[in-house]
Amino acid sequence: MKPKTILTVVILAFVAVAVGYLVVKEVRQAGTPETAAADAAPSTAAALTAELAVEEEEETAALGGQVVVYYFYFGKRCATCLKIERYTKEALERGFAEELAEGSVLWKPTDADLPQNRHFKEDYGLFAKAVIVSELRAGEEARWKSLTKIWQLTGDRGLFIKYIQDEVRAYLPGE
Amino acid sequence: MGPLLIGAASALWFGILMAISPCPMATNVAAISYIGKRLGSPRQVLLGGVLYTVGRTVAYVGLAVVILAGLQSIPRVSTFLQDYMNKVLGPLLIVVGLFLLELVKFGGGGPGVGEKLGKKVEGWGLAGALALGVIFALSFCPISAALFFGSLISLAVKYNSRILLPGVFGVGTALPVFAFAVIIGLGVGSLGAAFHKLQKFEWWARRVTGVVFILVGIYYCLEYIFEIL
Repeated sequence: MKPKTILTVVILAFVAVAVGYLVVKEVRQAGTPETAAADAAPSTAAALTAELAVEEEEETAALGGQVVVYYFYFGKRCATCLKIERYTKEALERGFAEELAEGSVLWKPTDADLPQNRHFKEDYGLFAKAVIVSELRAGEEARWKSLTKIWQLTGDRGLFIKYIQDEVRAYLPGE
Repeated sequence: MGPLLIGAASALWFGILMAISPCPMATNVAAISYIGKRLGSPRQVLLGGVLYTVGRTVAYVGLAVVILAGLQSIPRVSTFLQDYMNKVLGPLLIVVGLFLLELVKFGGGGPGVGEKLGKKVEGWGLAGALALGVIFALSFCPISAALFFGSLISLAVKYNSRILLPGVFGVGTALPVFAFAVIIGLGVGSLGAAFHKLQKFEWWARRVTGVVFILVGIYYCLEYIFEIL
């Protein structure tokens, strides 16, 4: 067999494998019942800890106001997306260390592809990775805002951090 | 400055931001390679750049019209395009690359059929640039989705502009490729002509483009289908 033919066969085989893999993956995803995963009992210590943390947060929320800062991710995690998550976390830790410690500000990176979180896509109209600030009063969401300028500010860490801090501050009680 | 002018300037800036972000860079390289392969003919390179820009502009205007008319929800369109376009793009680029390299023969494989098909793909020329503009524009990655569906659509709603602002945005996204076409077409046209005299230049240019398409296609497959990059 000529080298040219071998090369063509290898490339075409790669395309065939890629298309096959894609089809199988899509069929499997389509066949996954959303409720099965959502109803599954948490089997790991991490999941149990997360559940306890949620209950604790809900109790705190019931007592008074609480600001939740979500970072929603889904699909492919790109370099810019990871940067947004890192900068947002840094903005909160630098600007609201006390509030984070006492639970009046919560930082919640959330995988919106998980069955139990998919409703967030509709709730907040998510079209890309997003940072959402949400204010809870007595456990109910009183208002929320999508911080859309994050994508324009990723090139300037200082401005990005200031933007997040200003927006979160505007949601704190008494502001 | 009039409000609409400010809106147009913002749309252009969002487009440029999208064009220079790392994510769409791979498709820009493929587009530059495709348009630049006719180095011997500056006029065709320029026209290719214009048609690539038109392709991107038409795609964004069409999408904006559909969304702003309320025919589809933004999250649904955005998720669909991000989920599927990039996945389809990888195998598609590889197959087109194989045609450009004349490695694929089908339809009985009679003598010269593969070569004819290869030349046919090559002969798409300007129409190919237009098609690439449309396809690459619709291949959204997270940052381009955020800039288009978040920033640009909000801007278009604010200024009640379904065509102008998405159109300006489309031009902005094609600027690096268009700038390349202008530089090649006007600046180094004579260099291209000199290369052309070497006779085999066109032959090499097509093969380089085919290789670039296959490499970019493999990159897209690894990134978006196998998710191992």
